[in-house]
Amino acid sequence: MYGQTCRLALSALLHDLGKITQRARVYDRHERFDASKTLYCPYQDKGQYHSHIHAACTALSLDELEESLPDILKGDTSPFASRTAPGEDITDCLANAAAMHHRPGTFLQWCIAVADRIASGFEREEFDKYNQSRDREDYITAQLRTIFAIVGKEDVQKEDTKTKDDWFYPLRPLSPASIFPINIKKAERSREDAAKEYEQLWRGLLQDLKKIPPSHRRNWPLWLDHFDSLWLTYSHAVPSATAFNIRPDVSLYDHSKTTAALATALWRYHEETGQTTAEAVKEDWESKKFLLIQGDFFGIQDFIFNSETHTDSKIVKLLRGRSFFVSLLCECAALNVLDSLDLPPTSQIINAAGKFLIVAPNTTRTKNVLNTLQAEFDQWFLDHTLGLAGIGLATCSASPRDFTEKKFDSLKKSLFDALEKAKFQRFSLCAADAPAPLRQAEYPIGPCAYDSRLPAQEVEDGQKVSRLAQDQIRIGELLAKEKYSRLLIFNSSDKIWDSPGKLKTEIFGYTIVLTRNEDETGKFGRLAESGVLRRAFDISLPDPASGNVWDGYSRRNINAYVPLHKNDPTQDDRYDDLDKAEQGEIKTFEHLSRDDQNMDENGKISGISGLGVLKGDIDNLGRMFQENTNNFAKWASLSRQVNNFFALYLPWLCQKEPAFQNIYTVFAGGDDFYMIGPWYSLQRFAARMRDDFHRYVAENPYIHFSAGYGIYKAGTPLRLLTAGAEEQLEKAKKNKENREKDAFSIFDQTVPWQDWPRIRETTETVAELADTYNFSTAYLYDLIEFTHMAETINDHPENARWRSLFQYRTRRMVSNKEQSLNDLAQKIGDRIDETGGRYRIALFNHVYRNRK
Amino acid sequence: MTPQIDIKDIKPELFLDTAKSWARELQPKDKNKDKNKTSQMRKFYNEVCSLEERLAACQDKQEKEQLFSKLQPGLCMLVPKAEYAKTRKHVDENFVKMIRTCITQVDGPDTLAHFRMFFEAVIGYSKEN
Repeated sequence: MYGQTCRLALSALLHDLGKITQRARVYDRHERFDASKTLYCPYQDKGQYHSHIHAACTALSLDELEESLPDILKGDTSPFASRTAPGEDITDCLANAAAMHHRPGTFLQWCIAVADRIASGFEREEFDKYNQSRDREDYITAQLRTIFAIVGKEDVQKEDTKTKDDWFYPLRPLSPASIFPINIKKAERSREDAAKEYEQLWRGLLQDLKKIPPSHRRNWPLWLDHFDSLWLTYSHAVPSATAFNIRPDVSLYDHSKTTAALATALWRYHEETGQTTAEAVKEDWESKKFLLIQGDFFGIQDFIFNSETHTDSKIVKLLRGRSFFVSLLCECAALNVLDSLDLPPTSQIINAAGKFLIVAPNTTRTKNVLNTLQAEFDQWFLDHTLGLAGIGLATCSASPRDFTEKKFDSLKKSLFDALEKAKFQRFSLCAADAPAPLRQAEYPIGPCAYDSRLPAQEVEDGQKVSRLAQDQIRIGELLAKEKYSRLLIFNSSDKIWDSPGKLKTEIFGYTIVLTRNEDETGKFGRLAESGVLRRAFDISLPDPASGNVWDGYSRRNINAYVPLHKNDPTQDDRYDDLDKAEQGEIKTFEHLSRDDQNMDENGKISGISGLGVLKGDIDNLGRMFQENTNNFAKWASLSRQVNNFFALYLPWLCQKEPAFQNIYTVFAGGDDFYMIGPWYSLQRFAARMRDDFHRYVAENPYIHFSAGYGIYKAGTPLRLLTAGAEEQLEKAKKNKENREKDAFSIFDQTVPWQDWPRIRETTETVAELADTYNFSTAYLYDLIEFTHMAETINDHPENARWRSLFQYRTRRMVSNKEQSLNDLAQKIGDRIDETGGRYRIALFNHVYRNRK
Repeated sequence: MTPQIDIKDIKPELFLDTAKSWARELQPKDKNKDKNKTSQMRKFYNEVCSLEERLAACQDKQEKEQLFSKLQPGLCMLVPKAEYAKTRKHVDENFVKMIRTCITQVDGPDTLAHFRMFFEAVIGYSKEN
């Protein structure tokens, strides 16, 4: 069943492959082009022409891909016809099922055609109209617009109005740079140039397809997972719909992926309920054929930040390892759902920051499997975390009709409600078979040094640790090593070779191995063919120079950037009193806290040693999804794109920009982030992130994030760091000064992001003035006091004296009285007047940066 | 024309424009350059400060009121002292006017504090500093 389902999924995934080759004009002179048009494209009697030419191109393109795909022609190609099986209708093959989506005939073809329609939110009637429509004139030059541009703007919601405010994605393979939209003003290009771009894309796809190891072709789900990443790389910026004058804001990738997931579930539903006729698929839009399964990791904060106070190098590894574990547990949970239901990787639509969504057939078998899996997940978390964290599964049934534009809002609400309900039903505590409220826990060798609530199981380097913590520290260490860029997931029932990257903890029946790229590649092949290897992820960070993300393996952006000692730390006087570290090692928080200190030519160090923490998330995300996604593909697309900024772009930014190479990522994905770094660099990073995010969302003022920031000593317990940053984040969210949220909270001041450049400029001015007038520390502290007075005038009118006190204080400090006083009154006094307590941010920064 | 001083119901303006205008008004002018020197003004200001400090040392509200009643004659003496300084050409009529206007409004520890702070703001704005 697994192979069959994967074939069906691939066929659906590639149904619009021809959109690339049609626009590249690859087959304009192909000998079989006309015949293909006749076969696959609807004929419009009215104008006497074939429409939807891309369908013909899909068939021809599949022929070209065929040699690098798993066998889709001969041998077992079920549920499609095989060329070698006697007596089968060979026209009901995989390629035809993909290409016939505008002229479906057979049951299999209808499964894909109906999925194609509902992924786009079409009603049946509407699709018929679409099927008779002609491609727009500019179908080659039309570019993928960004959904971000229309959020909160009613006027450009549906029609392709091509306003000057619109933004498009460059037609280039996926990379951290190409996920940024460009303003439409820079957009126009000729048909020839556009066709050339498409041709490059097509040639790249053909070339890169060969990078998937051939031995993986005999393991369908494994291969398909790789292919999904390749397809994403090449179709993420291709506009899907180019008819009807619809604003083309859904990528070919998101459209194909949702089509594949829906087609798979649809086919399986009909197979399992014994209704395998074209009519049954075509006509029945009301039965609840789909089961949408949402997975949610709860207790993330508790899972990551429960730590005793440690300042040794292991804490940075542990933290990275724990954060990675959240993603790993979600990957394994999703994989377990897919494997248990024989569903292909393409059935997983959302996979971001502790959440996933899988489209399954709504059958009794599915529900039974999910009940068993939930019990397994619960048991794992009870055994390994004493139930402090967990993964909940929430389900929601849906009919094809529920995906249509008119009903999609209500489906989204049902999904949201189902997840909320699941959050309150953790570990089924109210069910008849609920786990015992008190559990026995043995501590034969004492508690774990890194989480004293858990029993230690081993002693390592003199520390008593739980196996889970041991694994997390180990994985945190390996992740920092560039070469450990493959994550392999095996069935635990099969014996796997021992390696340093093999985790001691099994996860939901899987064995996890973190390994190097080349060294052990030879071992993957055999295990891939036998099916023991379930997944092989490329978790390397994007290439710093090219941003390339495709390396022949399925990509998961679950690794994050961690700062390493690029130079020999023993030669750096700032680290003199710290534990010795080596070049290439991961930097501890102690090291990071000193990275913003400066040293003068006499070797004198200035500036505080301080660790910055930055925590934030996107504002009003729920509302953004609710109001701006009217079909399944668009919904999936928005989720993927929001995640990309944090999971794909940020690690790349940290890696390539020298100014940010000391920023440690605790987590960044989904819609939130938590970073730790040298205190001043982190402030600058926050501002850069905001600027880049603003550009990422097409400068749309309605999409923004808020962030909280704090400075701590390096040895502060993680819990306190996190609570402090959380508190600041809450303050930022309460900012109502200009518009809701969209603010940065720092030093107890909440600054709307749009005012931040002014604060940054003020910081520079303070530094310049301090230099020119040789400010004493006492004078700077007086200024800090004046800002306190200035910001409390409303409650204490007498504090309006600050201006007179400032004048008095300043006059006594400067030599050239009138001129200097005027200068400082203007550059400091007026600015305190304007910014009130916020001026303190600049003063604190200056004082901290120069403290001896 | 200097703005009115209201130290009973204080507003930020009292410590901003009002104090600034008075500072400007009190500034020693060419032919009177020896009048209203900061050193002279400070003598008065220090007396106000010392009265306020004595009150601040007293925690109990009732006791504070009682102490204020005892100190008030000393505070009122600042007006004749200012008049005397004027006859000696150490200060001018404007200074006397400011002192008198404020002291006639001081009726308790709070208004005394307001007077002291207003006085402080005026000195702060004085150019001679």
